[in-house]
Amino acid sequence: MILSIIFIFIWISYLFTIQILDPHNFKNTIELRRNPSKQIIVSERGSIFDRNQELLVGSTRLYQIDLDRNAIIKYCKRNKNKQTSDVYQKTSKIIAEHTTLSQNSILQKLNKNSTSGSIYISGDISETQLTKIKSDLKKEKIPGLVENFCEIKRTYPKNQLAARLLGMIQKKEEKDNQNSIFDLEGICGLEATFDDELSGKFGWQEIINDANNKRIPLLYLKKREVENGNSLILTLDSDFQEILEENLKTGLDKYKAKNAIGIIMVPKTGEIIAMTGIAEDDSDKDDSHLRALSNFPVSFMFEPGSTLKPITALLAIENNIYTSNDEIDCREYHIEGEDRIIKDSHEHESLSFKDIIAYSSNVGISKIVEQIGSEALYDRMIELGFGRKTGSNLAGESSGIFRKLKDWQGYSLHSISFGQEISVTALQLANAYCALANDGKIMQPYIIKEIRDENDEIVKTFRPKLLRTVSNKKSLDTLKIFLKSVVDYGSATATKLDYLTIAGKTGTGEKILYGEKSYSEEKYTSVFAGFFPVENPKYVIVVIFDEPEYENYSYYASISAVPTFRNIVQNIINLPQCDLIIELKEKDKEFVQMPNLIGLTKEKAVEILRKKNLFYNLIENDKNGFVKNQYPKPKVSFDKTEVVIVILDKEKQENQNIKLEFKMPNLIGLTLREALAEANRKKIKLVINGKGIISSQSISEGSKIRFGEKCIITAN
Amino acid sequence: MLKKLRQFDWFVFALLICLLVCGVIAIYSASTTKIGDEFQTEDFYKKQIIWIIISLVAFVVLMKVPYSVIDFLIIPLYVLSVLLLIAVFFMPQVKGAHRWLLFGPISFQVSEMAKLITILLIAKLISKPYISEWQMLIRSFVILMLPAILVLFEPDLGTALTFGVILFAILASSNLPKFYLLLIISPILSIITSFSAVLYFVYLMLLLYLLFRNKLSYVAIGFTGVINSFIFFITPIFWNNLKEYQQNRILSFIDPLRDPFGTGYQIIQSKIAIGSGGFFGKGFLSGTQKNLHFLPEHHTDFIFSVIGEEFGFFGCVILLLFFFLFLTRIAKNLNKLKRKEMYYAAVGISACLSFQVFVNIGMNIGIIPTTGIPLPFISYGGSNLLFNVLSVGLILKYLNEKSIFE
Repeated sequence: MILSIIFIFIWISYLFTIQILDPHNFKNTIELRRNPSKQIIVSERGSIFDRNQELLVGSTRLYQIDLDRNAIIKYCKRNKNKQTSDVYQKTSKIIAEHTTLSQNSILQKLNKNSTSGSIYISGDISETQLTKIKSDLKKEKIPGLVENFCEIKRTYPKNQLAARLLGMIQKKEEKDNQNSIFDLEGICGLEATFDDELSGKFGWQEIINDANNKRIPLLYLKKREVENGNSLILTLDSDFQEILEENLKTGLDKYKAKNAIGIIMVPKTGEIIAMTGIAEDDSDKDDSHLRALSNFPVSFMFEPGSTLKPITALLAIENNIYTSNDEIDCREYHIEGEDRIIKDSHEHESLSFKDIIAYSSNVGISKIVEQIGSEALYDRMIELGFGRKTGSNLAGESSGIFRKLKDWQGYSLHSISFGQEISVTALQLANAYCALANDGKIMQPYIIKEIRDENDEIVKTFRPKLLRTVSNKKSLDTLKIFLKSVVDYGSATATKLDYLTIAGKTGTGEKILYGEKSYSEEKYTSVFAGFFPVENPKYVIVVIFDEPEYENYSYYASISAVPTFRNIVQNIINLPQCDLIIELKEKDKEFVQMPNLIGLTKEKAVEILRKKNLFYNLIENDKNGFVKNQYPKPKVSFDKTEVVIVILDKEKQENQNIKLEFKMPNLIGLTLREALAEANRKKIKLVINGKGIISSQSISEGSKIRFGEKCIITAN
Repeated sequence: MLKKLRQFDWFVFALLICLLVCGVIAIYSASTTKIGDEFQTEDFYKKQIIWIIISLVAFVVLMKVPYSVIDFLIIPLYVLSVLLLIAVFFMPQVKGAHRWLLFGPISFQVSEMAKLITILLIAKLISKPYISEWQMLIRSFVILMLPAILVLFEPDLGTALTFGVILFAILASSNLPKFYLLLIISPILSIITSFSAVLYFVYLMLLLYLLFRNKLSYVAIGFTGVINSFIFFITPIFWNNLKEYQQNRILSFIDPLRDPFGTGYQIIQSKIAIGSGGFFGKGFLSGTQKNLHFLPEHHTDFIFSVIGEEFGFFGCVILLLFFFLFLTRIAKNLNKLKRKEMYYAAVGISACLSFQVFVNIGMNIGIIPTTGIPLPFISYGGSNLLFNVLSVGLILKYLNEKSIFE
């Protein structure tokens, strides 16, 4: 009785102390628990696709996985028949099965003596691997796997294709109060230019966890939805790009040039179909280094040389100064009042106006430009877009060098007429040729066709934009004939094709010696700018070799740039998506269908080609390699006399981690929830009919999925 | 009949009902998770209500059964419960212990039954006339040890301790000289004081003096002294020979805060829950500790923390007041029981109930180590409830019987 009174007294006084006086501040502890913490939701960076919606740049989420040894030990204690070492063995086997890690290395980590129970296994596990590991561990009922979002990696399914154009990203650590936010930031190329579109905006949500670290769905918690980045659809065609790159690379090696630059545009719209720049040591550089380098077609400046002559000629045609057959004296001559002699490398007594362009006579064009005058030439050059940026929005674009009229010196007029004292970029030159090919309509060059959001809805479409019109159709048609004659019998006969009309102009620009005022004797830029077919130009191609070898005369555009141009054209017209109608197919020509050689060994490929009596040219990047690419592409019919190009290379060890799977998975037999998870992972949109187990899918297993394509699944 | 009814202690019965209602309310809250507007209740409270009805029916039946029948049943029931306690070891483990007999969906905690029957058997045996003090000691000891050791190995330390307390209370209330009690607890005190030589010496001197005062033979005094000194010397050696984790286990049993994520976790969480309750609490159903799953076992052993958090100091004091009135009312009436076996049984039962109440609440507010003793009438648990109600029924019956025999 007394005892219970004492006890009651002690208990009540103790309760009074902790409940009313609260010395340990328990009320605050509780408040802290109700205080939500902020969880950051990382946004998905947008992808980049080419015009045919082939993926150029994508991204994968990588996860870090750890194993909690304590959980495994506890699990083994609970189940008496399980041995910890056996469970480790099993766990490591499962992880090794789905990743590139070896079982032994995982086991070593697990058996390491350390005080902490949690063991770091790997930091680059892709989502697909993670789900496989998780489901396998679940089957075996092994606990202890801890997963954490680690980073987003950019993936490049086409490897180095258009590397300099696409650019690269770097990790950006942002802070939002105490939370650090993972983010990627474009630093070069398209990734940088369109960073705002691609990057999206991170979201957050407030969370309260209960004691088991489970989230509690409280209603008053705030949340900001994550905004995923938009995807870019380029005007680029990866097949054209591939052709351009392969050919320039071949040319670069063959002519031992320092840099090779190429660009393919559609004159009617100003779309850039392909653009690339290669430096001689590019093959030694690794991927990420290459992506950080400048995009030559917009950044590299060179003297265009004779490729500017058509502009002077056009002015002369417009003003009826000469007709095409007017003979002009082309012997070397002295400019009045200046200490300079203008001469040609092959001297001609006299040439007709047309042949001045065809044979590219400096003397002839100088004489013509004297009739035109500085102002008219200057205005036309400005109209064609020289001396300033094209507005293409490409990172690292330079404006070229074109001096103001008032800064022109005595013989600037003559020099500019044949492309000296002026520096241009490949894009400027290509755009000017587009105008010549497109009846004087100067289009805004552009590379982004569409911007789409994550649901494949178009956010913004870029349409061809007419900037201004120069000249007139009649004059331009005459000029086209001039330019066609360049190919037909002039300086670019190397690119003459029987079945296709091509117009263009060669240019061999001398390079100014660094730090000196004179031109170099041995350093040249060889350029060819052309378009085809002449009657209705579909493509404009500019090919530039910077400092080709002097000894082999490859500095002459007709020896380096022109044959490369020809190869490019031949490959392009064999592309299935090229809608050029080749009108003239001679009867005696035998057309054959190209067999598929890709993936074969050298011996096998040669055997097939010999059987079909085809001429071939092997480009061996690796002696024991396999066929990586071929021109023409498989199943394209082509002229049997044409040379087939076969490229052999080492089979690239595909990095398994960042391999993107864009094949349709098998969803049949899965539950709806599983199917949705799988589809979400592969970014496939599902249209669902019914409930329960999936019984059919509209896209069959293993077939390729195009961006934004929807798969209809039926469940019952 | 009218006379009989008047003798029935309606006040105790009313308090019992009050406690049971409190229990149902607390269990309802403890098994409800309320997050925002979402509401999820497990059906523990329904089961508790069913058990209350069963218990009350049993209570009424007990009141009707003649005393002689009960008296006759004690020994067979004791044998049965010992057998069942052995049978429990062949049952699958529940939460790491063999405490329950499982019959399909119904589980039954044998130790609860054993507790009540043991009390009755001890009371019956030691109240026989003309038995010596030693006979009394040895009989009660043997009868108690059998179930107590079985329970200890289940393992259920809390209930085993309750057995000890029951014995101590019964012997203390008997006419046994008090120094026997001293002899029983002297080894325990030796272990406790063995950490300090001075303290032990003072204690030993005091013990010997008290025994001397009680005119015990010199042989007995000397024997006690030697035994206790032996314990004093052996304890440190035994302690040092324990593995570190074993030492830690014992230390953190005494001081749970040593191990805040293991043994101490529940106590800390319970203390936080009660401490954050304030004066009036957070209100019915809105305890955060419970809703965020920080408190395991909150509908059984730690139910008091739910009351503390949701009803605050006010609620706790009201509940304690109910218990206080209930227990003191029973204690006050104990002296009216003239038949020794009834008196001993009633003492044992009320000691058992009081011990459970104080230990459980002490455990909840963090001043007594966790032992797994539920709060009588409040905690969820069918067998516990049934036998607690039955034991109260027995006391009320005995108090009733008195009027008939006199």
